[in-house]
Amino acid sequence: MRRRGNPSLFIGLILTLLVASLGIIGVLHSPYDPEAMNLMQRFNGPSLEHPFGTDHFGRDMLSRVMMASGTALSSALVSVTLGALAGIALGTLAALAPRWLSTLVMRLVDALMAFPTILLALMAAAIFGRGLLPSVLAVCISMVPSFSRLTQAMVMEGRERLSIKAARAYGAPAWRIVIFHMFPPVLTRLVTQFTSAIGGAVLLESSLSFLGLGVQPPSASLGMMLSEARAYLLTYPWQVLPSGITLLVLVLGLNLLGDGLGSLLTRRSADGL
Amino acid sequence: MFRQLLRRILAAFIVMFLVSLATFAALEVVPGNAAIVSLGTEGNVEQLAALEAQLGLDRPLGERLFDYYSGLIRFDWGTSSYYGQPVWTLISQRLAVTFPLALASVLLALLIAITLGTVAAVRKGGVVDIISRSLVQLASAMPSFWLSLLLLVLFSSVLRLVPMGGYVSPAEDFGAYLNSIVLPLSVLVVGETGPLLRLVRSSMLEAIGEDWYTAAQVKGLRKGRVIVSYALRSALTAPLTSAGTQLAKLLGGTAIVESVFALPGMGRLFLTAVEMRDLQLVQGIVIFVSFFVVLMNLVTDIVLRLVNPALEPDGGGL
Amino acid sequence: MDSRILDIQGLCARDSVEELLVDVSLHVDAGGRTAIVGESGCGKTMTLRALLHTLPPDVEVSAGRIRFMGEDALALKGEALRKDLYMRIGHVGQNTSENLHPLLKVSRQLTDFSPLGRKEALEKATALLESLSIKDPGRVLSSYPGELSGGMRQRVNMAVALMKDAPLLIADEPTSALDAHVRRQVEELYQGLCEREGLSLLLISHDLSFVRRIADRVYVMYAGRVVEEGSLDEVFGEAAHPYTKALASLSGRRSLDRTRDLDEIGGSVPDKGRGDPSCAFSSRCPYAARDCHNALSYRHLGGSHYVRCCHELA
Repeated sequence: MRRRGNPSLFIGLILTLLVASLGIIGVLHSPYDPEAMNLMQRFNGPSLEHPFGTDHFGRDMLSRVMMASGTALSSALVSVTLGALAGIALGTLAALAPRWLSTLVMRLVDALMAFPTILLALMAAAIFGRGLLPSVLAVCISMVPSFSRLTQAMVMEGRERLSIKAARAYGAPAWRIVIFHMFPPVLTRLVTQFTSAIGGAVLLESSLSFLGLGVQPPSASLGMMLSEARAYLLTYPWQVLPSGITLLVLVLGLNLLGDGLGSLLTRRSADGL
Repeated sequence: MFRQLLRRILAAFIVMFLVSLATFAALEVVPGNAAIVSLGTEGNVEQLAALEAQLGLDRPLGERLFDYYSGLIRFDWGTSSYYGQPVWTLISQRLAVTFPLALASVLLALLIAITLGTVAAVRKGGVVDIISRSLVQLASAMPSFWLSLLLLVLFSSVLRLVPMGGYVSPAEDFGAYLNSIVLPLSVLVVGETGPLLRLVRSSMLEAIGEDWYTAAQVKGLRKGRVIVSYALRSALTAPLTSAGTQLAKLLGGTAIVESVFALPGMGRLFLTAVEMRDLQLVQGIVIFVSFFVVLMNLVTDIVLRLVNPALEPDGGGL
Repeated sequence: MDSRILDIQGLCARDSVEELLVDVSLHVDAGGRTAIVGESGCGKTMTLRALLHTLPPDVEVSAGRIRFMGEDALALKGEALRKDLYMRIGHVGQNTSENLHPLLKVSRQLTDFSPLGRKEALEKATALLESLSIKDPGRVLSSYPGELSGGMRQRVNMAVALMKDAPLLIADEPTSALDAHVRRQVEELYQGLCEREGLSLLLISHDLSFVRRIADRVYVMYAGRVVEEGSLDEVFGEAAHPYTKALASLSGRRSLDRTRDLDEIGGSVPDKGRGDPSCAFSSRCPYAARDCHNALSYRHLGGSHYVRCCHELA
């Protein structure tokens, strides 16, 4: 086995850590209060005092980007984790339930998969309302179908494996078989799916807040900052840069991390490690 | 073939039924009911009762479900509380804006994906492969609203080539229509091309690894024809199916682009419906888009089977 | 001027880790019928793939040359490769059920590479299928490969190879994976082909009884090398290599098939250390002695008979 580098993993890790550390520093020590307005300092260009400049209320953009990065990452983590757990539970249920029930569940999941993610999230927003929590919930719901389909497929596949047939023959209960025999080998695929879902979740959450359905002012989120900057597109076009670049770097980093991790883990499991 | 077709159609109907049932149920569990949600905080008890009676919310569940389905079949999808117009009328009006945009973007994306994906697969590791893969990576991380804003700054504000937004109907002035959709179209194409390109590349690579690919070359068929009439024939099944689904998804998935470029399409309609908590309209659009997804799946499947009668039957999918 | 239609000299091929072919030399006389025999994994198909430019991406020819009809076959590229090599070789691949595109009709796959016009090509294909004793060529032509039986697909593949009127026909394991009845039919078809004027044949098989009936010259390959070569009578009548003897004694009972892989000899073809100049067969050889671990030479036994073994067994 030749050793080949994994540039996706490396670059992805660096980009993600870059934005993550921005968020963490923001929590520990933000240069300014991200919500403090200063109407004398509106639309200031980048300077030593304000490296990313100031916005239309004279708020320090760096502090706001820091706050928003933290929110983006943590809310994505929470919604993907919840969505993954729900999806895994649903998929397991679908795989182990009687035929008619599992067909019903999987058909519904198919239908959800075929549905535009943004529409699903918007529909959830219509039901739950605006704000950070509803948007986390909306993103979480849109993560469920893919995880449940993956889990269902893997459990069905696993059922045919010899060790599991043996465990069944010994009369081990279903939940024991699922937890101790089925999950360990499929964990790599779930981890890969999880990592690549986070990038999508960040994107989705920022779309919702761009549309005004996510985090509400005066808190900062990357999508909302862009929507605010949009009003000054003609006069101060550079306002779209700090939050936009941060968002791009974060999603790019997460996607690359997911790809890199995926190829690392599949290579590992192919080697039998 | 005929039996199989029948089975697919039956399956499609089952999915449509489930989706509509799920939509009905989702709005049924909305905190408060549709009347309360629509009135917001301003309504009083009388208004509420009147609206409830108007919407039929005071009747038993079974009866409402029956009405719901008989309405669906007769294309009587209720009336939008915000616009005061029938939901079906609103949808068909907005479709005229969104459908051409969605169709054009999927076709363009497909064209780019097939060309670049084929070259990337045939010359794996070559310049086209590396560049197109990097671009796909970048495009899939690019938030569509940010890209829209950047394009607006560049082409509208700096170069002054196109207007800042707004929509001109093609019947009115076709040149102005093209000007008004070129930027939204580009943003959509950027978003659509990435996944399709990945799909074309991976299924082309699979085709190239098949025995018949080598055999066709060794029997003396020109390389170009081996790629086009042999490899692409089997490699395109997955991307074409996916493009069909993408098209249907776009009917509701253009919300962001339409909102940035101020286009009066389906996506904006849905956004307004959500913002105004116009649940009848939300329900109508959700059902329309999901029916369209199921329909597109069925159509692409049938078309692919007509073109390739030897395609193996598969049980999965919608 | 050239009595050899195909002449391979000192061919070596290797991937990134090890050698796969070591110093393979063999030839096919114009009008001759040459067979390569050996277990699977011994390098028979790899040799062919080097000739046809279809080696796996990580394998490369590291030494040697291949002359086909007076041209350097390894140097051909692009359109020249197609015209001067592919159009002059009829190749019946190993995995016949997967050598046809599943979504294209047989008629199209039989005619699309032919320089003839579509109508003439179709007539020729019909005649060819008839000559391969297919009773209803029209039905076969309008079918998809998936609708045909294994024997039928084998014939269609033969027809593809014969459409070009190529001077050299290569058949890679034409009878493996066929049931006994179909195998007999296919064998008869090849015997019939050999009667044709001027057609040279390169046959790859581990079915020795089939080789005996068809070939006039035999190469025995083992672990990436030719270990014995000669006329049919020399190799099978006076087998000099213990491996050839083992193959011959087994084929008396039943033809070798992939699943049994010479298990009567015990062991299997080694993958590693093919470049080693000592005898690769010694670990399975009943005559193995200390000399076997020394560098071996290719000994001439008279006529066209050569062997790569240090024992005097013949």
